[in-house]
Amino acid sequence: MAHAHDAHAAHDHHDDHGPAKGIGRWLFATNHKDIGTMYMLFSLLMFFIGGAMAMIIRAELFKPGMQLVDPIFFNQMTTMHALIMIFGAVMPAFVGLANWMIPLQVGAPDMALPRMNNFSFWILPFAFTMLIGTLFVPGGAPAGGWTMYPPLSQQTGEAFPMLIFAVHLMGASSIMGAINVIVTIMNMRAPGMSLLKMPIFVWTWLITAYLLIAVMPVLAGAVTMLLTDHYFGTTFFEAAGGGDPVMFQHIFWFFGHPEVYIMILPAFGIISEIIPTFSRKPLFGYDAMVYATASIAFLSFIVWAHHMFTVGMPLAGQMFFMLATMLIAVPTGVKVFNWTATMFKGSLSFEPPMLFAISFLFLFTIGGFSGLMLAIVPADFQYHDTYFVVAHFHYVLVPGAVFSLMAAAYYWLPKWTGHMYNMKLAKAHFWLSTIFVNVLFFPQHFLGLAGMPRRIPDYSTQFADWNMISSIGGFGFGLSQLLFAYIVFACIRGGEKATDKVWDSGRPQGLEWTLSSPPPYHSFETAPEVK
Amino acid sequence: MATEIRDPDRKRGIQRTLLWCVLLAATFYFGFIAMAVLRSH
Repeated sequence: MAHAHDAHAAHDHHDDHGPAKGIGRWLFATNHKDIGTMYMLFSLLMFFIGGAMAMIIRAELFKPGMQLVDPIFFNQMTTMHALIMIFGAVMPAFVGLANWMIPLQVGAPDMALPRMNNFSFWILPFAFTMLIGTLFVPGGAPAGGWTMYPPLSQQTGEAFPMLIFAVHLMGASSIMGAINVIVTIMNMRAPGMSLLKMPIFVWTWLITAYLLIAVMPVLAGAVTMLLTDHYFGTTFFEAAGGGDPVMFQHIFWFFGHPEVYIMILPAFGIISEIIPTFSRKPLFGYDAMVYATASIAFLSFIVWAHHMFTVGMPLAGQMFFMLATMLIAVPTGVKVFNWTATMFKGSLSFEPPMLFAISFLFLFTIGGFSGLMLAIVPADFQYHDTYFVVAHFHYVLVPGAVFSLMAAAYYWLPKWTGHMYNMKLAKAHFWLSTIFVNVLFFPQHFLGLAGMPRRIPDYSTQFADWNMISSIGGFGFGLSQLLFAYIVFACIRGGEKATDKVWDSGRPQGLEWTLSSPPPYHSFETAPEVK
Repeated sequence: MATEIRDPDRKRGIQRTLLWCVLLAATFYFGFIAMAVLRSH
């Protein structure tokens, strides 16, 4: 299936050599760089909208008692925050990076299916306008959690069909994006670039794309059944009609657990690109990294019920899902070991991408360890639905996935824009983010272990101190991200000229560094030869 | 304008990969719904 044809460039034809003028450039965009830029700007917008919701949550939880919002609105905020951050911020940001970087890294002139690429992106603003629009319909936004468990989610008001349609649209967008990634990687690689010569970011995205194609339709199927239960008299998940609400949970988590890896595997790819550059050494154990990524992807399909230990299941089921979950620590451990080994005796320098990568390494590992704690069935009976779970997945997703995105932005922004950004401000952004993210999420471990339940707007006074500290961390982290937006937009507008290699003191490898900064609008019109 | 791929071999490769991907997605979508239908009483 994989073709890296000799002289294929001769057959590829470009009708135009520059961007279209005006709004048409963006509306009808088929250029991977333009679409990648739109994805990332959209993701940044969603990051701030979802972040504003997080600020409301943390403001309400600043002290015991009801302060600002009513409980229903609080639940709407937790639900919408999760949906927006997962489907609107983190996933589109990675798809944006894939759009920008995969053609550049495999030496292709563009994505294989550029018109579908345009469609994948432009679905998203409609999906999220509809989702955010639910805040203004009678009954308000969905408030039953991002997991949409029935029968609770069936009590959603007028927002219900909007939620289902929005989720379908997001799913369609993701599936089309993933198909484009697979088709591009399998068919558009430069001559000589065999699979095991691909940059590691491309590898992680290839595996992620297969995960997306396998599990997004499962989510779509689950919400389709919610819809037919709601409007068409089926009883898939209604016990009264012979259905089973627990079946929804199984189907949802069959999607939901691989979804976690969809948000972290490309992050692994980014970190695996950055650490060698600033260690001035090749990545330690490239093949092992590829196999570890594939192993994690495979294992992600057989651990879903660890989200459901307290629902009840046979002892053999508990044992299987507990041990399978713990097994994920092995390939993940291989990765952490290889990143550390790459840095070992390296000539390290600490530019902003490397700072975020190192921070990722430490803090993601904390999230991984708390995940192992949650995998232990009897312990999970204690931790389930407490703030310990909130602390765990936020450690994985914020200093994990989001920090990797910031690392990627600081790594490739000079390549994209042709300008260096303000290093001092970027380092300040790093320190503020790293300090505040820990102030925000670390105390939540203590709150959870002490028994504070998640998804509540009020709490017992014994939880007051750590909640106040967590909220202060939240406000600090949120404000720090304004600095990130400023650095990015200032870099787009201008700045010191970036060289083609950008990180001249480092050893960035890969085809993207052979192009000018910024790269030409149509790059690799003649396919490069990979030795 | 989109980059047109004129090489027939490569075009066929792209179409074949696209078809497999769509089939995979459709299998998971309809497969899970069918499983739920079979499981309901």
